[in-house]
Amino acid sequence: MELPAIGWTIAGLGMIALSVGFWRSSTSSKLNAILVIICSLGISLALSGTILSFFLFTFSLVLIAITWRMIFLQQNRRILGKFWIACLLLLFLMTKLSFAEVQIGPAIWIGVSYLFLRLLHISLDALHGRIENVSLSQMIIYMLHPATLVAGPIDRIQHSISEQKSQVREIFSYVNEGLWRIFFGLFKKLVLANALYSVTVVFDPNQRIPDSMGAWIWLSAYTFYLYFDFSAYSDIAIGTGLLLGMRVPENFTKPYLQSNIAQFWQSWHITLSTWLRDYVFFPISRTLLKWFGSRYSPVILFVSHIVTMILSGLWHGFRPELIIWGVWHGTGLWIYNRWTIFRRRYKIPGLPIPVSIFANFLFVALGWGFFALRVRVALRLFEQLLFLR
Amino acid sequence: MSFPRVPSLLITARIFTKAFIVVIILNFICLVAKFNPVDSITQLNLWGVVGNGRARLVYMSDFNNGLLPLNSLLATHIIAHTPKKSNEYRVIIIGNSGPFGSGLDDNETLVAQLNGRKILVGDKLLVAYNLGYPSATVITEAMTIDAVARYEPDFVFSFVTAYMFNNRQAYLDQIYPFMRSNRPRLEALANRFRLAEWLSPRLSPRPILSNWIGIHDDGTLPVWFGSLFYPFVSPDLSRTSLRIANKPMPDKPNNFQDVPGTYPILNDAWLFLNVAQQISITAGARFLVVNQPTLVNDGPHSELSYSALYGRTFYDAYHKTIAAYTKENDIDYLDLWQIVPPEHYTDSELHMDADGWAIVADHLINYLENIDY
Repeated sequence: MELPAIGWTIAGLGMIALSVGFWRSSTSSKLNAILVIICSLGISLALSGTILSFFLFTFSLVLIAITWRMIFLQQNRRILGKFWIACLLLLFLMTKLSFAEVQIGPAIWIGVSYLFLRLLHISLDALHGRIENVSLSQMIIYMLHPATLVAGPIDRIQHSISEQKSQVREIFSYVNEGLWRIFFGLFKKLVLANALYSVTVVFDPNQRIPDSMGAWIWLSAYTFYLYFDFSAYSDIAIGTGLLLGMRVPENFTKPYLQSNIAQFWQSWHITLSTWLRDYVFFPISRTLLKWFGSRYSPVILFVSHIVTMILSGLWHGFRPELIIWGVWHGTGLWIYNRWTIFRRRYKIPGLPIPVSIFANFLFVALGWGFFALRVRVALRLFEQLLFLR
Repeated sequence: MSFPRVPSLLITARIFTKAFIVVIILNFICLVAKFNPVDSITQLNLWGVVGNGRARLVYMSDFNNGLLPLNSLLATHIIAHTPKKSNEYRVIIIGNSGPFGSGLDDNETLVAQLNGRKILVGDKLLVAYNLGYPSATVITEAMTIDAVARYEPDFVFSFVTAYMFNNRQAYLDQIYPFMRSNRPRLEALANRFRLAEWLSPRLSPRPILSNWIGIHDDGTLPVWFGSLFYPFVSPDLSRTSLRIANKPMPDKPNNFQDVPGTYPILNDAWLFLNVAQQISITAGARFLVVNQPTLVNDGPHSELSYSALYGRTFYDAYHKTIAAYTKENDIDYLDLWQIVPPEHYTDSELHMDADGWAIVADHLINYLENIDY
């Protein structure tokens, strides 16, 4: 039997046991944690198809255990906590570098990007005293829950623990909603995303720069393909979570219908955006404000936005194009912030909502050009979009 | 998006149960009627709406269109939108990216040049159609001829070259998507011409469950959806300034000795020439195998190689084999392998400029003028 088949068998049996475990309120947290480990190990083996993922999964458990221990150890020795955060950052960086990506990147170390964000979240919250006592079992369930292992959402441990402890659960309602959510996600992925992907292949700028009409068709198709593909995974994760008795946070709330870039980032990949807001944007901006004072707040805001969005780009991959994409959105966020203040000060009316929505959609769509393509190709595509060639 | 309220579990169960029953019934009907609606859907296209059909089969360099069955590809072609006239002598040109016209505009290809000369065959006007397809093999050519047979061809020119007879698995893997998406046709041909033994190790059998599935798309629906946008794309044929004849030849000839399945030259793949011939004859068409022009370069190492693609030893063996095979099997054969001077080759040993294909057109016309009808 091949490794993926073994993996799916383990994952499938583990899921069944886990669903029973979660719905039976008398099941101990320890047993649920063991079932989570079995299930997620199965998923890792199935998706990676290599035994190396078993060792990386074991290493994940070690990291989780150390992080959990750090919650208590650093209460008296904060330097330990800071040291551990630095170690996590270094390890995370290593998984992103191209020479390591083949061996320990997301294709082999399943869910690595989400794992490290969760570990960092716990470590940082523990450092700031925002985490109460948490058992290792609760932490394992949060870190490795099969519903959110592969593609998020990036929940917060506080929310996860409250869900784990929650006794009020209507099984049928959860199962019903979960099944609809999974069906919805599968429809988005298998029908909508796949169809739109085929259109992007027809006009793929990496193969050949299309003419202007082709460029607009590609951009539109890619923009919606990305949304349907990504949000489908979230729907499936949320639906699976519901089947397993746990409500996972929403990750997308009509992002392309938002009227400004700030609202877009409150609606797109919400859990990552809020993670970056809480652990990058706010700390940087507050620190810089403390050092330099509010006189420099426009510059400080600009730097904070840019750094936050660049890190968002780099989280997706270590490519210069993603830095440009981050700068694009960081600049957009800053300009929107300054424009809002300016508009309020001089009582300038805003654009009609449909116009704002369209303008915002256009801004985001153009940004995806850098997300998807090499810089040179993206620039040539923009020339076509502007009918310059 | 924030998720709308869902119906109650009871209503959900009713909806899914009814949907399941409808799917089962439809599936059974399609199974019994041997009708897969996806096949019909994937033949819908805009080409007949925006124009008269494409001059060439749709092809993308990433082989994505290998995922569409031949009927769907042909549905976009001009031949599918052009009923045969009473005074039309219908000629099919089939081959690899050379006859397909890589690097050439539609009005520069071999087919365009034949049509441009307004040749009369008897009292009928010769109208040629380009059914070339990049990376073709003798297997895909036979399948294409089978698909195009219903459009009443009068003559089939089948351009072949040495690599197209390669029988090795790794090479056939490249056309596996094409074989898989045309499975029913390939299986029918294999049964009809007793090639099941050749086919079975090369095309994995369908899962048993698929025998009970009447409606299946095999991944073709998304590809078809993308293909609806092809009218908005100019042909994927970047003109190249590269001249392969100027590239120095390697000191080690490419005689394919290290490539398993290439030797012996004569292998089971050659049987597809017979298949193509039989299909053409059954369709009422004459069939001619044309040994495609290939670059014959001079200069350093030319004593070992004709070009970087073909070492002399390998190509000479193939050359002898095709002449003998076509003679033994009563297949009409025209050898054009070195009729085009090196300066007309573009970016590969098989791609030529318009003047190069004009020379080929001359030879084909000369052949047509000298045969008995």
